[in-house]
Amino acid sequence: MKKPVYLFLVLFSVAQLLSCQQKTQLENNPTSEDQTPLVVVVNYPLEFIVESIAGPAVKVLNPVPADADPETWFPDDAMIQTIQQADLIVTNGADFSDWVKKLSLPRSKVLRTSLSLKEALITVPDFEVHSHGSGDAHSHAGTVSFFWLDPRLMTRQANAIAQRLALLLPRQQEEITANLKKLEDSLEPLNQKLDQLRTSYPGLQWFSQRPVYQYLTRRTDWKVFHLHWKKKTEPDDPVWENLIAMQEQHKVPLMLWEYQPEDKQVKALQQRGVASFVLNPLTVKPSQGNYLTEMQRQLDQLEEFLKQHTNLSKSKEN
Amino acid sequence: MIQMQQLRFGYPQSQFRLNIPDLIIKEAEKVAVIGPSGCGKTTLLNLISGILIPDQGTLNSCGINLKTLNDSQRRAYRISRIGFVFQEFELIDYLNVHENILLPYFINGILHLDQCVQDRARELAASMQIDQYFQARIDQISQGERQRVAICRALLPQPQILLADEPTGNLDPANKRLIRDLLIEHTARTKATLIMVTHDDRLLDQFERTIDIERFHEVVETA
Amino acid sequence: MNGILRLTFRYLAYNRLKTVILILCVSLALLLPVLLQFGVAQFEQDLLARARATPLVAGAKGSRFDLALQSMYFSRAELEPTTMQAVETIQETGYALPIPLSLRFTAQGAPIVGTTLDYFDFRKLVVAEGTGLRRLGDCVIGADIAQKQQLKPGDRLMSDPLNVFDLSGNYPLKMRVVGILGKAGSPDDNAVFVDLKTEWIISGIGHGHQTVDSETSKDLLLKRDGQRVVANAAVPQFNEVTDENLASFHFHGQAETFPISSILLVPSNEKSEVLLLGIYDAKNATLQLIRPTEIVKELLQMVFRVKQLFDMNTLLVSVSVGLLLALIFLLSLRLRKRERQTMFQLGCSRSTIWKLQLSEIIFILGTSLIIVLGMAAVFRVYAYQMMRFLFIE
Repeated sequence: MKKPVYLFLVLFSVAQLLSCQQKTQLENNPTSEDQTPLVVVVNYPLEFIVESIAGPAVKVLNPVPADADPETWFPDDAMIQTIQQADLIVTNGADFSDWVKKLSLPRSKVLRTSLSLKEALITVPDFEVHSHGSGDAHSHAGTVSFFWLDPRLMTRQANAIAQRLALLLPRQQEEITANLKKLEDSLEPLNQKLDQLRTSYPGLQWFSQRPVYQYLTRRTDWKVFHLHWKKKTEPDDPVWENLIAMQEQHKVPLMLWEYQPEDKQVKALQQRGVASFVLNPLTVKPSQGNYLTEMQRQLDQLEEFLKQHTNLSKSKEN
Repeated sequence: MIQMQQLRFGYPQSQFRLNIPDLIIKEAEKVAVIGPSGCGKTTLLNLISGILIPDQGTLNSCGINLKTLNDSQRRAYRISRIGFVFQEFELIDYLNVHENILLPYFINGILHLDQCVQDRARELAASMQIDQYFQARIDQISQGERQRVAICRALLPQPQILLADEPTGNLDPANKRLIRDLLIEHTARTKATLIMVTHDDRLLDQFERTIDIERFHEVVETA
Repeated sequence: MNGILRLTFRYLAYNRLKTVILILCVSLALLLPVLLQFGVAQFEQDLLARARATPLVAGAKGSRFDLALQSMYFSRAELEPTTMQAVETIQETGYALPIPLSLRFTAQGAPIVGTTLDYFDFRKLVVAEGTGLRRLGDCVIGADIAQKQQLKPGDRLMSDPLNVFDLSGNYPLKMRVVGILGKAGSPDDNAVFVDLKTEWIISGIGHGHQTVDSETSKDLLLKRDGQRVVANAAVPQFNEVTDENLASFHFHGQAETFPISSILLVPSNEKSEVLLLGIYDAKNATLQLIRPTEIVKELLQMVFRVKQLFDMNTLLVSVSVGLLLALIFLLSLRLRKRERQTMFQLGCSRSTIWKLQLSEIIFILGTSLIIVLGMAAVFRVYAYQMMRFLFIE
């Protein structure tokens, strides 16, 4: 009577096979071999904040090369992988950097600093208006993203970053708090300088090339008209006509530049009664000094510039 | 070889009685059993083979008192000591010739089928001239050949007693003789006792003795 | 070979028509209940496993079943969309990691799942071939769809148009297959994963088009206002994101207002989970928060009720088949009486007769069972899809 035994064996093994789960066990990705957490930032002000707060406890990676524009730079495949595997990705928010909008990122690791200052954000109608399909013409509205130019907003960004870093580095919590305080203190002279400018030069009107300085001019109670000039593009006749029209309407005597403009542009503006001043928003690391020293230096220069120009205009009036 | 004394047997609820005061069949003896139908020829064979148990008296076969055996011992005795040949051949239709010959080895663990048995089966078949049908189905061979297969089956375990119950009943005259001769020849060769029931007087000439069962048969009036 | 087995096989082979009919008869009677049992067990296991691996799901108020099943299985359902604001709100509570899912489109019939990289970590999905999602326009596909569509990294996969007659909204997007996921044994195997932002491009919220400037495209320009340009409706849109045109892709409106289908929530701990459930339990809450295990258990109750009906039927069929078999064996016993008698006369052992009959029954039942289990094994592969089709789709 061997057969029934075989039968049972066969049936049993078939049943066993069927009950087996075919699902493969997926291994969890091991955490990065290097113990120091990697924090990716999108621009120099954020790099400065993270470095000031976390010090050597994290590796800060600003992936944008020195000669590239952090707003438009796009990482290559290798860099994309590095960024995706970072422990924290500190973004500016408000569409500051193009790559953040176009890269696939782990949301859980992204800190959008703009979220910490939602109510303070300034929105402007965007550069381009177009339509497609059957829709009407529409504009791309946008939020001005250069928050840090108002040191108080930069402090709020720093606070948000510090909170997140404290979660990432629970053991360094005290150090982080202390460093944050230090950073806040060191931003104070910039605040004072802006307050001083507001009192000394109330109600100034400026042109700016692009919507960049809104947070700064809100602090100083100045008005800024952006001309929607494309970066590094020679303004042509219609552009000048637009400027002249605005000039006639608002009598704007000053213009802020993000970079040193060409001499002929400065002269052309001068001829129309517009004095140029370069205020680098420091999205890229300066060749000398750091964010604080550079911004302080620029604000001092601005004060000097205003002193000259207001004297000049006063003497003109006289 | 077979000894019966004061043997009495009757079927329950039947008027049939078999009463054998004394009957001895010697080793290697070739005996024909005759008698009219219903007088107990098959009953005698069944008693000798242990299928039926006598009501009274003794029945020794191959030195064994069959009355002392239990059912499985009797089956073991039957399969190892007795060969059976039937009038209707009683071959298994789903087995081929070869397997029919080997049948006793399939149905009782007492017999062990080995190469020696296989060789013997082939020799037996050859001696009965049916070896060419070894792999044939039963319905593919003639009546005479079928009975030869049945004889091979009965002889294969080398029984000491071969019981043949009218083995020629369904055969033509030529085959009748052939089968009888084969039975006598093979039992002579193996020194086995042959007890053959027959109705055919023409076949009796080759037997050493004829037992008329009629004389042991009685009918009792039941109440 | 054992003598009894030899006799049994010879008998069954000799009466092969009868044997085949008996085996078929028993197999057919067993097939439905066994398949159903396997199917339901498998369905239950898969469903519960997936539900257990999905702690919480949030979505617009509506059918809880649709929300749970769509979020876990990417089944088609007309769910009211919610917005990214909901994701932000949950994130701000700090109680859970929200993983948004957008499930409106398909590619070659397979669901396109717009999500973030967190989904892959959450589901422990690994890229078997190629890389993970890198940028807009990329897709990572499940193992099954890769095999079915013969796709490999570097290939392109077109999204299906939502509606052939929809002229205004979305245009199919030619996606770049960058990676193939390892087999996970889950609905992820049959999904096309894209970044949420890519899904928004498919839905037309974001797009890329040729730069409109006065030099290159005079005929497209309607109006110029300073450096502001107004282009006409014919600005050609890109139907594929390439390295060259990537820069031109942009979104209209605030990301917070962009639609998503549902949100998977990974609570930081049990307390957070309870707190979250509390927050969204309010009557005026716009979102509903559900525990998929609860939904799945309710669904399984439904399945079990249907199965009970089948079980009843099975019982009746089994009894009738049993009786039929008994009859056949009784008849067979009667037919083989003479054979048994002969064997008895030859001296066959008492048990042999019964063993012969029994081994015949066992052979028929065993063969039927093997056939049924074999079919069940084959069925197992498709059971999941079948059950999904019956109860989820």
